Amino acid sequence: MKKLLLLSTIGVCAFAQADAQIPFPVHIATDWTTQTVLMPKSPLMYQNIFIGGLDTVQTTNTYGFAGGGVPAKQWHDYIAFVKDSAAVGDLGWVVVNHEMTTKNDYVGDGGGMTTFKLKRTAGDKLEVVKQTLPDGRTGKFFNVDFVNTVGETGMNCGGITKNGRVWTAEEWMQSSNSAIYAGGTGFRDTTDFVIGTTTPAGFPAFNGKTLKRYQNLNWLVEVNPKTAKAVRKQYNWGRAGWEGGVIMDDNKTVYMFEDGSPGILGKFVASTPGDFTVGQMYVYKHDALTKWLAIENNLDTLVNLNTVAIRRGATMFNRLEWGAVSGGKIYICETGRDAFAYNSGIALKGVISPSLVDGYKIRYKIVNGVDFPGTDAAAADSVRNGRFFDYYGRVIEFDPATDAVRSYIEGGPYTATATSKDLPYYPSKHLSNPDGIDFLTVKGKTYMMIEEDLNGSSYNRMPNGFTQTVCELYLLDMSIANPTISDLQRLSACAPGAEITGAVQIDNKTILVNSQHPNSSNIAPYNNSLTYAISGFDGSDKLSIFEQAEVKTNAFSVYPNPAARELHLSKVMDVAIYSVTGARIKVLRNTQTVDVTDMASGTYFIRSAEGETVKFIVE
Amino acid sequence: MKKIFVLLVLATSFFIANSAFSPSEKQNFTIITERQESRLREFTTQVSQLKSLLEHNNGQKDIQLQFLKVRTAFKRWEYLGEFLDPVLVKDKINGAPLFRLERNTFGLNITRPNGLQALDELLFADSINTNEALPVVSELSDVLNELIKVRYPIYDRIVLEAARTELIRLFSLGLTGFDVPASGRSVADAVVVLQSIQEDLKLYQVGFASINSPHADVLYSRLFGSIQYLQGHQNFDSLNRLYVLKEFINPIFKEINYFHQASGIETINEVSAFLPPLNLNVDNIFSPALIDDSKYIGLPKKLNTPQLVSLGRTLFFDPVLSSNNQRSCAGCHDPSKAFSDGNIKSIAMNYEGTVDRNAPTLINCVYSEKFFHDLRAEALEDQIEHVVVSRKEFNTSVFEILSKLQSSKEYQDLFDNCFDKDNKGNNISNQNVSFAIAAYVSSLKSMNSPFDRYVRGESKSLDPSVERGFNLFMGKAACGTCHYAPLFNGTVPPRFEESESEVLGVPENPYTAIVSLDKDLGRGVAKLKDQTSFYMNSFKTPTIRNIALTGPYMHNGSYRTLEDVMDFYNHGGGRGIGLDVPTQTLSSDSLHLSPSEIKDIINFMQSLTDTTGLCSKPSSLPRFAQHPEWNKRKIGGAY
Repeated sequence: MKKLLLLSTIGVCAFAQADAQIPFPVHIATDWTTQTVLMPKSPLMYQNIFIGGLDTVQTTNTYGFAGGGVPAKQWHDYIAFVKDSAAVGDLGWVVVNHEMTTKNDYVGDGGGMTTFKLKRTAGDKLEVVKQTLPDGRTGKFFNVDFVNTVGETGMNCGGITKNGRVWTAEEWMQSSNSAIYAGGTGFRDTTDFVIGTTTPAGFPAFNGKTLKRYQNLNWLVEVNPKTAKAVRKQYNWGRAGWEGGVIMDDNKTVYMFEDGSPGILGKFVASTPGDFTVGQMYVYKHDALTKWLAIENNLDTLVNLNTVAIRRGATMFNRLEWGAVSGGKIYICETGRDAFAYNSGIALKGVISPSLVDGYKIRYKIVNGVDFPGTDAAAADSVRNGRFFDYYGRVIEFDPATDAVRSYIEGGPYTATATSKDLPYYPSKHLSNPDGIDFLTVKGKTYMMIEEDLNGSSYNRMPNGFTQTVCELYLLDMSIANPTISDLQRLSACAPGAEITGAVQIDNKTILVNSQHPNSSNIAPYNNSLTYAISGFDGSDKLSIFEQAEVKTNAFSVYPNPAARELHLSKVMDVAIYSVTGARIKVLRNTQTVDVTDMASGTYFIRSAEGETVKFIVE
Repeated sequence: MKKIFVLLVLATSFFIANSAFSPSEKQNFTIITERQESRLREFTTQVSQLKSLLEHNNGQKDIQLQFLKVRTAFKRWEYLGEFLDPVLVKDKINGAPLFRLERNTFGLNITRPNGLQALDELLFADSINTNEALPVVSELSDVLNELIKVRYPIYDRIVLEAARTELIRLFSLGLTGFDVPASGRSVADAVVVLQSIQEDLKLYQVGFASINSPHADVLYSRLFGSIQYLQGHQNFDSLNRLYVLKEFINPIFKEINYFHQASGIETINEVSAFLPPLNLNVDNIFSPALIDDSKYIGLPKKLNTPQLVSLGRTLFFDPVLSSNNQRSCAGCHDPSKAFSDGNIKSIAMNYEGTVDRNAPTLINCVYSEKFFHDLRAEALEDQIEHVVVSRKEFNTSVFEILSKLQSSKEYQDLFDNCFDKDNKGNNISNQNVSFAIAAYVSSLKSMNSPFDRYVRGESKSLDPSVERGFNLFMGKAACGTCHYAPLFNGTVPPRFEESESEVLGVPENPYTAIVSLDKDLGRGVAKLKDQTSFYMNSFKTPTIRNIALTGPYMHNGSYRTLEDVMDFYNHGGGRGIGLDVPTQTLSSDSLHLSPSEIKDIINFMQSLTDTTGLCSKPSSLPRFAQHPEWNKRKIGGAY
């Protein structure tokens, strides 16, 4: 063993002199380390609750096929949670959107939703409760019936939950019956749809009106999670590529977000609180005196809301996704797109969102080192002409009090400059294409939960050389003024290829999260869409659950973050990780964090560029 | 412990030598980072100049010459540039000149052909349409101006792995003419690529020589030799690609790996768990281990045991899976025909006509990102359910199959033996049935044909006709630009993480007096998210391996012989024989292949036959105590 030690010492000296890229020895001696860092068990507990394609959902009679148990659809997106503690220990109903759109004899063509009831059992575990619904279906998971209630649904992405009511958003704009028919693999029924001919109800103002079948998609749709039936399509909120929305505390005002490029921001104000069938629809136009364009309650207009709105000069966003309310303000993900230009077609009539102007100016400053010299109008022109490669996206803030919108946190870090304070954290703190958003309260502190859905791996959105995307769920402490990327805390990363989405807090212990459309070649069950729970947010009081005490050594210090399963280093450096036998298993360069998520519990060594080695134990 | 010691000594002495050699100079990876930045600046500058020539309507000759300067600059940058950001290169810089769907966006957003390959076609057409070419150059220019701002760290690991990845790309995509559809400049491009690799690897020469001088001699002499050879053999049609592969590509590929391992520089496996199927820890591009088949299936490795493969084989041959207990997977996938069935289209359930398409071989089918002729299934495991519920195939449901299997004690024991021992009696599930069949089907791998053995140096001689055929396949006949080496299927090298489909214009029946396009729209109607005009009539590119056993050919089984298939391609596909196929992705020009050349290509394709050890059937099927009538069922089914 002596010889080994000697040799590795020589190696290190040679490098130190030459200011070299450190060649970490393939093996190291392991008997001379004194410092030990403990990576405690995560205070958080992970539990798979609902697996697409594997769990059985109970269906109603559909298309002449008898109801019964069939495998659930995949692609879990939005999660709505509705408290219901009628039975002791029960937490409430969970409704999961299925963005997958396929033909299915039993659950119905198009997308869909699955509803189930959760309760808590010993050890803070969650259990899906067996139920019998009013329509007689018995089981654990229930397919929400759209076919027999409101006509089919499809592309169910985001949604709205308020006061125990749930709406699903039918994103992904459809434009013809042949497209939705998809050669017989999509929607089988392409006959006209007459509003009001299905049970339970149509829509007061529009009953008897006829829509082309594809036009009966792309609305917000109310569903009843407890009966597993759709209630009505919200025809008066307009048809667009709606991705999400929020209802304010007045129970009258609804804001809606369109995933389009250009995408619009909509608002509906109900005449009576809680009755969303009567009221006034608006579309955002930030440069108008009143800020909002009133939209007439006319089905022909509402069916083509995006086109109508842009023609009337609405504010154009670059793909709005989900939104959520905190402190009276609305935070919305503007996910970005690898390339876009608004210098042709109807987009010429719209106006560029101030959030994109902010994004452009922030990027300009990073690249050029100086503030953008022109006016906001000039910046907007650059955006319009496609000079803004908006591949990161951002979270925007909309203030209902002032009707003003701004960029709240830009994706990134954009790597044009080496001096950014965010760069050392790359890639562990690296926000690309924010998509899902909600808020989490832990011990009185509010965190924004931001969920990524990467549009691609290019331009360093994944560490270079890697094409598989890994999407992450970040937390952002809302008490931080002017947050940047380095303020993000990584809470969870989902399976490769999957989009992490749906995060919703159900009580002081638990959030539910979805991992949707993962690579089908991931190791099971991560090859299927998944709803999982992260519990334990009510744990230890002494430390924030996100931080543990640091252990100092001579050259560097290490502290574990058990929640994020990361070791944090005191500075940016090259490190290697060795197994208990001294075999090198990982080399990380130019990093400040070491992800231990995939490391089995046991003893490891972390070695710095200077050759200093610290033992760490993953519990 | 000895091995460790040796490695350490090697590593240490190499780096001592290196630092002693250049104590005050920059490290290799710093020099290469700077070089790569300068290569990108040069590439960007050349593109700006091309843009300016187009804007000023210069003559076609000038523009073409400038485009060749652009290509040279790109090829110098390519090996590291593409390794560091492969998706960007594919999407914006040097992807196939086709309409594509923008990834991960709302709805179907179509992107037009862009980048260098689109320009190659536009600028080397009979005349240049500036209105079409200028936007393509402008977009490329914008992309590069953005790229220049993004920092990509380069380490020693990256240099070595990028060089080896490039050797696969250069052989399969470069020398085949894949990325120069009109200018045909592929051999000159390859020279530039190899020069760029050589320039960077020279920085390591002293260090490598100090580790092992004979190995270093092989590496640097073959690198030099490859450049010299290609400079002397610039004719695209006559280049001996098999010679280039055996003499240069494979030895360079092997020797860089030798030094990567011996120097102790970290490998990509120590950097990320999320790797593509490409496995760089092999010494030959035709090694069976080059592509990691476990990356294509969701089956956990610890479950993938010989017992599970055997259970999967039993299920595969068991007709109890079908509604009438008479059909098994083997009914359409017969081992003696490399798991195809010899029919134009397979017989449907209850002999009611046929299924919609020809049964493809299952050997090597695991090496796919998507499944079925129309690419509608994303995994082998998903594919099985499609067969189960198809009215023309098994006409049953997953739950019906499960309840049947669960009623057999023997099946219960077989599943318990493969899965959760603590869950005895409850292991027959939807997922476990899929896992078992996927384990068996993915075990049907073959990379050990006479041709493979010759390339790897395991056999010494090869029929000269096969050699000529391979060179034609990879060159003049352009087969290798879609059936990519070494799998010879549509799984795109060098990462092997994407399956391709093509519009060939295959006729419904080529043997009739009036020939018409097959009505099957393929990928264009397979699923909602592929509903675009350019996917209409598009079908998955199948493997050529074992083609001698898998006739009749094409998605509809319309061609009886390989000679007829070759004749179809030689005429330029559907459009070439006068059909109206506006979105055909195959060139409609004649390949100008002579009958003897066609014979050579067929001989080469037939040298890719290998089904050794893959054809065994189970000797019996599990019994059902409550259904004695089922116990008489035939292994493999009645039809």
